[in-house]
Amino acid sequence: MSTPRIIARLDIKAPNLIKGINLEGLRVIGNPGEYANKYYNQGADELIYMDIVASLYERNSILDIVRETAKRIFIPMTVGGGIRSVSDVEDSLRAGADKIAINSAAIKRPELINEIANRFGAQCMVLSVEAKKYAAGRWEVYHENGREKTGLDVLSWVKEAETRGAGEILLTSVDMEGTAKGFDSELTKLVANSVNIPVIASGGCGSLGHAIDIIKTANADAVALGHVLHYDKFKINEIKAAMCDADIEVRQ
Amino acid sequence: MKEICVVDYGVGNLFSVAHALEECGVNVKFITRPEDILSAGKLILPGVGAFGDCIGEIRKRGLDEAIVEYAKSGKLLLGICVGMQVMMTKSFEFGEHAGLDLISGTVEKISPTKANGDSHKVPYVGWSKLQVAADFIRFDKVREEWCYFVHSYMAKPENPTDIKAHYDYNGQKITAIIAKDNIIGCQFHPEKSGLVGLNFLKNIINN
Repeated sequence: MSTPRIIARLDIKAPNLIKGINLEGLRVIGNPGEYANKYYNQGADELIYMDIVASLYERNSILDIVRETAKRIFIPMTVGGGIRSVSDVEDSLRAGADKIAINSAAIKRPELINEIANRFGAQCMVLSVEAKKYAAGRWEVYHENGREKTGLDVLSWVKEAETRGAGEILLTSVDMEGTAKGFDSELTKLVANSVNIPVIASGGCGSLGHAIDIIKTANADAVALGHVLHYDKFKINEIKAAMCDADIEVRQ
Repeated sequence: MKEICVVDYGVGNLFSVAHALEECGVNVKFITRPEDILSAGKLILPGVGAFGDCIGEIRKRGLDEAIVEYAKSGKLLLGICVGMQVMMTKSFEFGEHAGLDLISGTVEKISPTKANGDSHKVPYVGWSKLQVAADFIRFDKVREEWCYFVHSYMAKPENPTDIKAHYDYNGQKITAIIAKDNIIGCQFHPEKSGLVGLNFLKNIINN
């Protein structure tokens, strides 16, 4: 395993940075570029821009934000939301993204995972999974920001995606997202122990302890943080200091 | 304003590298022709993807001899990622491919097992802390040198003193920087390694 990464996740409804609860009830936070800058300066290891309306309304306005960000921010950047084809991926990479995340398009046509991995490399192909618990130890894959069911089981879907060439899983708990009550550690642990690619835990972080636990006990390779950063509950350097104290080696 | 030339041979996205160099206060010029390589004052050779594809494009465009000739001039040549790997004698990525042979040695796959025999992930993607040789002074030493890597293959120079930095991957020493005279290569992406990466570029350009 490489060093755990602290990732700032910025959900975008262009031109704004927004934040919801359980991926709904969206609130405008501010200018995405300013927040991206702030997190870069705090020591974020990566940024994720997720266009949360693009897959509904078929828009790609997020690329302007990515392009501007890439001029000032020198850490890896993942872009998701509304990517439906290899040529959409190409546009995102050309705008300055290093990786792309797909969800709906992969559910509709899983071969897209193979196509992206073959063309740009597995390291570029992040599968975004919105997971909602439906029974003890079982989660269903959702899309369209946790609104649409797919009938797919999370575990079989991530395994299929890995076989097809996904290089990383961005795992968002729809149940915990925006609640600040903690990650879904049972879900994270199950997925992280079932695939051999990095798993980014997303959704629910509300305290330093949550972030430490998900790395230590659920084997997550990275945490994606939105709420706690946007509302200034704590800064990335504070999380890293707390992780060091907990004997987790992170980039300083 | 200082100028730095970046070889554009049709592979990968050069904008991140260009933005990072601009942030370092230099003017970036993309060049595509052998004569531009020969007349460059400082040269960067980027590269992503497979070794064979990169060296193939360089040869197809007739840039290989110009790069070798340029390297003899004593002017700065910096190879980044696969741009560093192509400076080696040969690579074993998807068959055997001859490189530019500016630094003697091979490019070989990162072992998929840890020192204790357990498997670990290859490609390696992530941040690693460099162990830098004492005679290589291109970092500011104000903080730990954490850099961002994405790779499955690594350079193995014949002469160990050509290795100027490495990182540890579960007990395996992975080459991070090679250098010989005016030739420097880095496996990590300085353009994605935050302030450490920018300072590395600045120090190389100004040295």
